[in-house]
Amino acid sequence: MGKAGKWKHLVQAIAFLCCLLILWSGINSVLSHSKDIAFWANTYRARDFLSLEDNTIDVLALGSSQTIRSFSPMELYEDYGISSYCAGFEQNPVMCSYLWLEEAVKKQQISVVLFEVYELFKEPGEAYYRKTIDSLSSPSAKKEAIQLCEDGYLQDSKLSYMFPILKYHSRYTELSEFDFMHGHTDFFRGYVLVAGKYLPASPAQPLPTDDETIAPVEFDPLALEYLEKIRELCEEEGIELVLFKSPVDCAVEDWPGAYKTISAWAAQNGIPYIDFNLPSMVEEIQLDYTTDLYEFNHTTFKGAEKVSAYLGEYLWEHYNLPDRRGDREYQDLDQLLEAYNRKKQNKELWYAQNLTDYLSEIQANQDGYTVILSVKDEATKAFDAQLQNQLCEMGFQSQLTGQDAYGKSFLGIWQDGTVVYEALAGEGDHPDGDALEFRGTLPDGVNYYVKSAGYSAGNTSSIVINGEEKSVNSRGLNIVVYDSQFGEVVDSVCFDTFLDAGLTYAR
Amino acid sequence: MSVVSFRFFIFTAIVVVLYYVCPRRGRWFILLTGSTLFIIAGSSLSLYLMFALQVLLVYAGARLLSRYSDWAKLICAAVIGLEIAALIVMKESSFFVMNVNFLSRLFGWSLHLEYLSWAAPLAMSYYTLMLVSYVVDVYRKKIAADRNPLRLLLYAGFFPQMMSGPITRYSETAAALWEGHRFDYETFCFGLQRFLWGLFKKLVLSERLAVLVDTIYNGGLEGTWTPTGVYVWVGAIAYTLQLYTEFSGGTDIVLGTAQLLGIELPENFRTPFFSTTMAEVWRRWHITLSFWFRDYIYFPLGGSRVDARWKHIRNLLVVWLCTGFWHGGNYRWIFWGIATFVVLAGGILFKPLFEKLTILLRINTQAESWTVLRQLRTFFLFVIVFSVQPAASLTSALTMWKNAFVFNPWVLMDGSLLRLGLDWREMAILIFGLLLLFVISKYQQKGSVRAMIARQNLVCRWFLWLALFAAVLIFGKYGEGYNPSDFIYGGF
Repeated sequence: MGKAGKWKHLVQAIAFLCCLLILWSGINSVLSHSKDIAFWANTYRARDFLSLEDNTIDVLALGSSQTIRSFSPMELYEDYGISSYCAGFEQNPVMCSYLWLEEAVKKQQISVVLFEVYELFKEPGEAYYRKTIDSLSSPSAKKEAIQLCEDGYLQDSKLSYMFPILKYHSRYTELSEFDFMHGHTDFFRGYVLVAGKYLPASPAQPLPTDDETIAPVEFDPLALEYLEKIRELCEEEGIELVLFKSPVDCAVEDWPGAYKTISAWAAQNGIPYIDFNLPSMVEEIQLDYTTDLYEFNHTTFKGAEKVSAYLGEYLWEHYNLPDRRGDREYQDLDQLLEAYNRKKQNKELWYAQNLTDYLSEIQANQDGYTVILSVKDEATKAFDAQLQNQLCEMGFQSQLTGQDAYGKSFLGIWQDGTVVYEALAGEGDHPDGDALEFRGTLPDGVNYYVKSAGYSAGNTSSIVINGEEKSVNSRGLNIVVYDSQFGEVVDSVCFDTFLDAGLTYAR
Repeated sequence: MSVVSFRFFIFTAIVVVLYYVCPRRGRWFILLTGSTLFIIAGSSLSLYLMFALQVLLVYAGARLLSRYSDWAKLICAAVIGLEIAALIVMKESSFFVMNVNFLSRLFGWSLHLEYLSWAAPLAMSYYTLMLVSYVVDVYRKKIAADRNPLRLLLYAGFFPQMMSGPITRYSETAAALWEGHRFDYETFCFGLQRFLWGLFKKLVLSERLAVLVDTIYNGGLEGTWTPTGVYVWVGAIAYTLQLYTEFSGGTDIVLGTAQLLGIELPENFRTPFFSTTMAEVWRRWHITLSFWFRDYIYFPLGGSRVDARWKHIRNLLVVWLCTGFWHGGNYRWIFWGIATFVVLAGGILFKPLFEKLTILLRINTQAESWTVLRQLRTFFLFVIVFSVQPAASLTSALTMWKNAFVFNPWVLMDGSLLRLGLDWREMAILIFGLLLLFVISKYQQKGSVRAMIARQNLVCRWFLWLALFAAVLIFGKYGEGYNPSDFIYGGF
């Protein structure tokens, strides 16, 4: 074989090897991480974080789920123009926060690091280490992982940290859209909006600061080691470090002892520490445990608004941070802010206490929304005049009060503030005892189907959007709200207006 | 070191690189050093020394019998005797101890032997046969006694063969191992392709079949269930296919590894399930082993060229008892050997009757359907014969077969087969993989599949090999959380 033949083979071999590596890399990136769910957006956060443009972050918030629930970068941008990012995974070990920081300083000129201290007293399982190590997949992350394997903290093989595909290749059985998604509508610079309510059996409590009997709790040794590393890295890079603790219900979360330890450590090291569980802080930010938390140790978007507002003000007053509003390089943040505010608006529906408030909220924000109403069983017995007026204000003609409408099917479509369709059994072309159906297309081209069947007409409600059933299908008025801008169902609720005037509801 | 382990891949890569970097004259040294390190890593230094001692014994024996032809027979017999004795003592002593103790209890003797618990050198069953074949071939003057003990050491201890063969002849491979080979791109690519195909068979197919076999033979997922009817057949067929995919897959990896170094080892499998008789199966399954027994036991006894039918049958019985014993010193393997003998002997004895019947019934023996029928018959006979192996004991295997004819065909349709440890995805991958194997095997009747692919355009070739690579990467059973089953033929 001549030289030309040899060169041809060499080029072919190299090209094939490149194809192989690309294939390996592609398979690895889809399969190689723990199963993600939309609730935490881990998959998306890692990809988003790694693809950030250089030198576009001034403040980095690190930590675990407490951080990604309580720190909202968009609040800081809206109020002060501060460009920030929320980096972490649920139960993110402190070692992994260090890895995030190490990765961040390679491409970002960070001025302040906000570190949420919850995980300093925890021993997360190996799976939580892997979320960060496998997602960041950097040589330094793998090196730290291998060291922890050698020290006995991690049990999986070192080889599986070097080549995560060895651990995750069988995840093909679990693949879902979240393994491939390149967008996430509740995700804003690392923060994920959540609505909800916290309804504990006994009233939630702030820190009991006057209880001297509470002993300090020890740091987890490995966590402390990496906290020191975070501190040292911040010093090396000229980054200011601020510690904080997000709000929790101290009647459930064993925080008081930990508070003593971390506050002492912070004081000893001259590092500011803000604990939102102190009674003074709870009062200052006007924390409402019911609406600002959705469980004992995580905040809703309402809680995040308050925490972020305080932190934003604190950072603005204490550190010389640039205001990026109006800066062309940060234009995308303006669009993101618009989407964020709309998202918050959507989530507000969740907090409506009754049908009256719910319909008021809907009427206040019309553009881009489609509201679908469908009765199941009986929805008129307690449907009062006030509710009827609201329906009429929305443009509906059907009368749901009075005996005539008792047990009858009703459906209505309200789109961008206009009634697109409505039907009540017994009126117009619709016989009395019939179920009602309607098929339509939403403004973004998604098809939908609605059915309402009163008590004697089939006793069911169905609201199918893009092939998926969305109706609660409970007795009363079933409502689905669809946002065409985000292309998603914002809320699905049923008000039992047989029982009362929209005070009882189910999701 | 398993041939499907990461360590083996790294080890092979290092050996291959060093082999081609080294000047041609010195490449034997790389192979010998690599093989030595491989054996030591897979067993221990002391066991390696025992292996080397056996090689030295054969080396010396062959030199002596070449020089002293009057004593050649005695020397040959002595060497063979010592080698076989070593094999029996190291590997099969438990069988004798068990039987002596049993007889002692039966007859009320006071004798009680303790079981010997020592490890045997890596692949002792394989290299012992190779060494015996060498000394016999020297005795028969087919080959000259080698003056170079290192060459003999390399022949017997070439690292890819040290897991599950093939059992090569000195004349086939010794020279090829010793002389350094030029790098040949096509051969190298073929080696990689074969390696990959072997990984697919072992990691994708065999490991999944092992789940089915394990569940059925071990009484279901909770160990409380007795398989009946269709389950027994599914378990037996799954075991046969597991054995085939694993053993032939391992052989593909071994032959592929050797091919990376430019060395052609003999084939051990030639699509055995397309055989129409059991005799043909054993010319296509574990070829090197069956040919060894043919050449060194069957033919010396006279084979089929004897003056009486009973002698022919006797020769078969001796071969199959030895084959069974070689596989394992326990009654299950001996039973297997006897069962195989019965089928083979039955084929010989009933051949005239079958021929008369086919004429009487006017069966067109040239028809493809007839060939397929015979292939299926042979396959099921093979399945039945091998089905005792995965059972916990001979008794439990026979008990299972007692239940084999319980009528429960609905099991095939009602989702029961998806409750044997493989969900619908895993089952789909397995079925698709077996279909692919069938198609490849069918094509292999006509010629080399790799050569056929090599004739295709570049995009097509690369697509096929990348798809196979992706299949192994995604669907292979390896890595964290997996304990890949040991190679069934890897313990010999």
